[in-house]
Amino acid sequence: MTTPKTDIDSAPQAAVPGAAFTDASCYHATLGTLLLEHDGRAEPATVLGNTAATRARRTQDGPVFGDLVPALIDSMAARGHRVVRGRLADEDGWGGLTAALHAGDPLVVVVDTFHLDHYWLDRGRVHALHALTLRQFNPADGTVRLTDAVDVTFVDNRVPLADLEPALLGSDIGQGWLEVADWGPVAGTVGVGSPKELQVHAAALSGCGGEELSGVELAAYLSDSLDRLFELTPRLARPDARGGADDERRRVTRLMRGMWNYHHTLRWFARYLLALPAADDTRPTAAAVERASQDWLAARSMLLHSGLASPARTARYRDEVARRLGRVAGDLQAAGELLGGGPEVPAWEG
Amino acid sequence: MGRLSRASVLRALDLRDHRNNAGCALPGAAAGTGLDGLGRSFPAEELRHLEDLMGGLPPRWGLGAPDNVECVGQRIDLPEPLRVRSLGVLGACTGGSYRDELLLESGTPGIARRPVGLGLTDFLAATPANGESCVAACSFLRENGRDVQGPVPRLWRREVELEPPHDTVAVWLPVNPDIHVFGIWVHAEPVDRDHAEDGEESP
Repeated sequence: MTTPKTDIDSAPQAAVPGAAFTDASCYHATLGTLLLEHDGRAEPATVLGNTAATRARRTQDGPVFGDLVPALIDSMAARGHRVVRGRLADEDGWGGLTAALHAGDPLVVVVDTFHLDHYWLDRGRVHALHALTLRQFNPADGTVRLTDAVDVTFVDNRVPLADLEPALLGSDIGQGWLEVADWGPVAGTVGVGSPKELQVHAAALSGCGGEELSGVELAAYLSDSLDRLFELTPRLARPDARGGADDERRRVTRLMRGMWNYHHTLRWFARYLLALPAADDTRPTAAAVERASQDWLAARSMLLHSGLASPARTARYRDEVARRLGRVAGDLQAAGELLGGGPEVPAWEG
Repeated sequence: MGRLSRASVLRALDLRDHRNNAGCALPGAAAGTGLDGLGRSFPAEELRHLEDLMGGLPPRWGLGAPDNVECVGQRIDLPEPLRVRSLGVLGACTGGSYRDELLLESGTPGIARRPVGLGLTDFLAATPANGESCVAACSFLRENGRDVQGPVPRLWRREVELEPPHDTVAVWLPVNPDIHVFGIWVHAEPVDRDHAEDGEESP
């Protein structure tokens, strides 16, 4: 038996040497790694936290979330970092990716976890997309430095590029890559958190009437849909008997993924507020947004747990989700007013 | 000058009546749905040394009996009213890392429960999300009785100083089933009811 390492009385520290930058969101983790690789003085939060958009819209079937990646590409572009996206299914997609590696460019690759050796969560079981960072390609031996900066699947080592081919090419579920074609200034916070920028964020948090739901609108929308949500989410706890053909199961899967992404959006937005030059002024706003991000994650968790819980426990979760969503709405309303300078916040046209 | 004669001591809270989840499994033992509802658990044989922080090992440790508290709003009574100066938690989360709240109940009518931040990291995360200490990094993950090499389940320790100290009769856990508490302790002294509002210091 291996004796576990203990650290009972020492100060908090990174549990894994070298894992200085990790995150629970793979796209934040990979793009953050690229920023830090480009300039070690970078504060990723001023870039990747520069959005509070829900990317959610109201539909007949309930809230539908858009993809997180375009929002992060836009956030990179707002700081002058032009990100281009390649798809491996495109003609010569593989050639494009290897050409970028030969040019020495660090890349984000989006792979199929079913074929990903270190990704024990899904390996050999589940086909899903996951983002990794590839850098420092060595043409002499065909190896590349692979970093998975997600906190629960962290690795950072050199592997033969050929070992990744099954995850990149062994299926077609949307694998591809992202590379930064042009870099803007990285270090410093000049222009970050301008009044115009903060007005956009205020509207994303607490505006009303836009095409895209604000955070306050989204929380209210989910609160109004709780009965339906608690009917739907237990589907995820049961085996997928219809092999992916269950529309409602797919819908609730997308909803849970969208809620997961919005949690990270809010969490990173709170970090952005704390990284602003006037962080002392935005600290109360950051605290409200951070609490909302945590309440949001807890609400999602209870929706997921309801499939395995007793009726009494599920009723408890329902009450708590309602309470948490109410607090999310209140916190985001307050945050929007603090950022926007008052309760009259224009609708976001994003 | 303080008037309190009894010094603060460290007290583990009794979780026996509140444990409701089996998150640690010995080799070959069935841990049911495990810590995360998916059959994943700590290898129990690697956590025995944390007995003191857990207030003693639970009965049938590692054999499928409850060994931690999945938080669903439980009220945990203190053995007597205590002036709490700090509060510590041993635990981990599933499905992400959290910053949630415990509530301290004073037992005095009209005084609202005092929220105390509770930040705990995911049991599979490589780094602490909230500045916790890692107190155990296991060699592998036990998943539905199978030992999975690669993932490293971790237990985290979080301590919060209370300023000012808070007279407390019970601790309320949040309703958040992704938070798993293996131990709670307080650094506290008995409340001197005659001078309960004076905020005396230990000598």
